[in-house]
Amino acid sequence: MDSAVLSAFFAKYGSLLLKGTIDTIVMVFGSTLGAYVIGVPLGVLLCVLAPDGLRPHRVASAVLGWIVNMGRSIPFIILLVFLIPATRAIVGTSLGVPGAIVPLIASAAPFVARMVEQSIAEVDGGLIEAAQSMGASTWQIVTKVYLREGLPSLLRGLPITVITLLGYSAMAGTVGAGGLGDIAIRYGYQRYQNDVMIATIIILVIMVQIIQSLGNLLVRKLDRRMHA
Amino acid sequence: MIELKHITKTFATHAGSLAAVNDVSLTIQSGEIFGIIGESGAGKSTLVRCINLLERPSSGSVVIDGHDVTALSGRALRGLRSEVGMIFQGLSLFQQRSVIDNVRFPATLNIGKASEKSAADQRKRARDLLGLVGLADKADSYPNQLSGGQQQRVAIARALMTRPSILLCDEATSALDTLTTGQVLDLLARIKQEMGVTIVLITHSLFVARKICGRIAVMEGGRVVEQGSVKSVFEHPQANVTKALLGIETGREVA
Repeated sequence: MDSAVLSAFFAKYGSLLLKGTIDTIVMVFGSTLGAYVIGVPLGVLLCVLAPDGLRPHRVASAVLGWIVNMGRSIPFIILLVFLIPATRAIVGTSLGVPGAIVPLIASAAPFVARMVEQSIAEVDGGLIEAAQSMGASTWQIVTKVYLREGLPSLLRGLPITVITLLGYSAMAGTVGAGGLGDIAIRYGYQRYQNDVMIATIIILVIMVQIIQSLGNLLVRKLDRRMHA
Repeated sequence: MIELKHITKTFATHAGSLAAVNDVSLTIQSGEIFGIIGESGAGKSTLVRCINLLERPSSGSVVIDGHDVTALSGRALRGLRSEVGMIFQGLSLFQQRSVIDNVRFPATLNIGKASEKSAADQRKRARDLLGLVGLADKADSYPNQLSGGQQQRVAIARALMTRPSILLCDEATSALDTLTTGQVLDLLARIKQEMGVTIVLITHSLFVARKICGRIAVMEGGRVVEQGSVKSVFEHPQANVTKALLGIETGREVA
């Protein structure tokens, strides 16, 4: 492909791809934020209420586990359609970027909850007992031990969530959510314009690489154990 | 003074209930170093955890300086814990916090009556304590940069942050080599001397008990089978388990 072809391609589709990229970024980061706002407290609760947790509660723990599992067992593409009435009620539309964010959050929050639960479970029980022996309250243990000591592991989960949501956001494109997935489906699948589809794939691959690298950088910066 | 009165602690296991501690009564005087020795599974750790109620006794009572603390909960329990320092066998420093932030951590919980309130005052006391344990130059290091013995000394400094009157040591030197163990024990003896802290020390090592303890209790199967001064117990052991720990032929295994 020589440069004349390339510049003609960008002249024609450049602004479309740019808008799609921005839409995707907004969808992914908006839903990541929402998923963590809901998922972190859920994950903490799963740990605190577990049989060997700080405040064991069999019934609450079982109910919460059930809800989280239910959220995780519905395939995203089905959740997307299933949630349309709820999405309309919450953001006023089931279309475009706002319409995609609700189901994206709904699917990622339980996923985040399980990852947070996992990260906290990795925190050495000896540290929790030490904090208890100093008189730390449950809330202090959650904020000062669970989340602080679990931070590197939590941060390693972040790019996993973001990249999963990136994939989901492309699926959301099939029901008119906008973004790169929407462009790939409309141009690549419905109009057989492979060049546009390949361009979206290249953009997605680059985004994944950047997200993972940023995630790794964050862990390196913030994990105190590596500063030897 | 710590009075343990008829402490029993049972755990539910798959094989039924197990009495880890079975009707133990002990009196530990203020300012002494009291050793609890015995083999693994004798119930030493469970008994000591009853003092700061990390384990709640199934029956019996814990009386500290005349106050029955057995039923404390919530803020009152947390207040008690701020007055009873504890160090553990495993390395229990917060890996994501610097050494000085580990040491001042107990004061940041806002419960200790004697604790410094402002971060600056907390850091000042933490630095003093790090000086006491000989690690003033490590204040800004992170735990994984320290050796095991250094980490245990930081843990001791941390346990002293809220000026406790009692220090519980749960096999605190068991993971350390002999030389480092000696250094940590010397430090504990100095703390007892300089601060008048009562120290309750669990160990399976006779070397440790002999080096530092005034009086000891020997546990076996959840019971205290023998107690007295280190000298009398070691010179005239009565219980078979004490003789076994001392390596004396007990006649239990007749050839």
